[in-house]
Amino acid sequence: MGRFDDIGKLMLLPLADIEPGQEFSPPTFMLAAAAASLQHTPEQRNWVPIVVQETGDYQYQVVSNHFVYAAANAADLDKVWCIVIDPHEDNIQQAKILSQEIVPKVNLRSASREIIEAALRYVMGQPGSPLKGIDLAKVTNHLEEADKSYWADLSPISTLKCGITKGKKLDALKQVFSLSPLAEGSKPERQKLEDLPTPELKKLAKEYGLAGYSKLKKVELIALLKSVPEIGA
Amino acid sequence: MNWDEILDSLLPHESNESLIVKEFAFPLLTALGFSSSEIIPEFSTGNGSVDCAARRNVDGEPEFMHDKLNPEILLEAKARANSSGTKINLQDQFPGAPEGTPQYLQARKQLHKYLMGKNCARTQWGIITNASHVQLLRRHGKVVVPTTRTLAIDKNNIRSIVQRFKQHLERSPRALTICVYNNKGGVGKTTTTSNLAAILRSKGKKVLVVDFDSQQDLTRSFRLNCQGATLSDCLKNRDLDVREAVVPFDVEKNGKKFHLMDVLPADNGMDAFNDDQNVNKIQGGSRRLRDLLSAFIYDYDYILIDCPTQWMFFSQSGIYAADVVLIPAKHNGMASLHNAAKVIRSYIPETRQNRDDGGPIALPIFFNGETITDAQASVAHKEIDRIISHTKKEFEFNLLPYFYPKAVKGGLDRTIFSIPGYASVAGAAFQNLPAAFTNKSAREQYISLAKEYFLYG
Repeated sequence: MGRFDDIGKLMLLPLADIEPGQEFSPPTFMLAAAAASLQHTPEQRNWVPIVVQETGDYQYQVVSNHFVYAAANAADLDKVWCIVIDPHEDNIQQAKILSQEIVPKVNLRSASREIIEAALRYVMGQPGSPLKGIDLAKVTNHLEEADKSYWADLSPISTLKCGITKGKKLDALKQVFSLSPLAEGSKPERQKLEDLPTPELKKLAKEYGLAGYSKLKKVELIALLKSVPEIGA
Repeated sequence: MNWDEILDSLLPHESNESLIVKEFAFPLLTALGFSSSEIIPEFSTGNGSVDCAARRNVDGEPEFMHDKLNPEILLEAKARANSSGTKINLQDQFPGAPEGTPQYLQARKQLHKYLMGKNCARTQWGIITNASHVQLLRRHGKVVVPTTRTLAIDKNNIRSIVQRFKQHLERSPRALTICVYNNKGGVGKTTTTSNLAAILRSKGKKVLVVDFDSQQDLTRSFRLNCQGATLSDCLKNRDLDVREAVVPFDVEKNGKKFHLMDVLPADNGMDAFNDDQNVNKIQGGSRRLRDLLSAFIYDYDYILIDCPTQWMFFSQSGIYAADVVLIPAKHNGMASLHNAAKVIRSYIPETRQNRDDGGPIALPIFFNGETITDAQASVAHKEIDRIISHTKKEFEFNLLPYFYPKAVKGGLDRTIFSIPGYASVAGAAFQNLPAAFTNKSAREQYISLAKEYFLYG
């Protein structure tokens, strides 16, 4: 925090100078009740501050605690207490995570078994979750045991044969899982070959215009594919 | 090592932890046989940094200072008092704290966390000390069990404590002994034992199953016959070799014979011990089984004991012989929850009193055998909440970590590990094979159980 900026300070700012950050739709009754609670407080002081970033001179935007912002508007406050944060992308992300406005994602590459299981449990427990019928133990085991080191994204989950198919189920997992970027120099294609089913390998061979692949065994197919410079290198 | 001088030099209310590390922990590790180049202070475990870690260097292998991996032992030190002068008490038993003081429990939790760090995958030992008390703990997979009580240190006993620790370190047991028990019947003790055994075997572990139940359920379900000496003979006659009572359990898969596990089967002679009159004929009584099983602890990775429901000779022996007690319960059987609580706050501590190594310890309960709806879960949680608060008030005993192991301060996660039921699991008893061996989805469930409690990594 420098001497001439407001970062980290708790400040009383005019509500009119603050722009909403994102679309946010709290239940109307909650908003009305929160507004009433604010109006009821001496000096109408909001004890939970809004987290804002400075976007220009005397201009701010809500980063998190959107509910407080909405309630302050509903209560017609002139001024609200805010904390100004350092607008670094990571800080904004952190503020949203800590105020539970977004669900933090777990890095599947490094997550422990316990965390994978707990994250799956969370998704399964959501109302209308497409994962309702899945076998938690099976999915946890398969996700933990899979070699994820070369995955570029989460789509290989659908090849693990644990009931997570492409579409709704896989998308539901994307809410809670992420993958850290691949390490420099890893070769996703090459590693992946061993995991592909034989028909897929044949399709690949066809795409690359190779001949005489149709009668080859899996091992031979992989060898053939690796002879293609673009794959093998 | 001049222990008199070392102990004299420390203030009784020493509040500087790093001084305890330097003046006491280092000499302790040195006395245990580690040279100064084999001890790393502030060792990074992969799960935070522990005060000291040590590993003996072996010719031809990278030095510990170099690879900084897999220490033999971790040491977590505490001061003797905090800066305001309040004593830090590391006793594992204290009036009003049957499971140890808060500082002790905190230190043990911390050590457990460090032992699970990725740089300690093969670490087997841990020490907690503040130079007033010291405890040696053993790590086996995901489990950490005490090997000694927390011992009060003085100038007279420090040498014998070091000697005792040294003997433990020189010969680490290979096995973890698990007793599957609940004081309520019908929770799936035998099913859990046989399926867990099959899974541990499939993960490359060497497993011995002990059927310590005169009803012989497990022995019968595997269709085993005793050969030579029987377990009941070995209980009565100290001259017999219990190894001869072991029966291999082989199964056929795809026409090939396959050794699944070793079993110490129950026999007809065991019925007699349901009568106290006959238990008197066993030297050592319910301590005898532990003695018999000590013949196996260097040969197997896991020893699983199945015992009956009633808190009598058989189950008392099973718990006395165990390092850890695994407790199946039913979410819809309130009695099984109350009984689990009783086992944890009464039977296990009572057994611990009679052993000098700080064991056995209870593992968190799990729900066995039924799919649980949200409504049922909330009923079960309410009952458990009641049991926890009642037990705290009535017995000063904190059951929370045994029922809700995932709860943290400020975040009450009520998740309880559970295994949904399958017709196949129950039906497998008639096939003379554990379901985990024949049925894919049962297998996934028990892998999950094994990983939740026992298997590391």
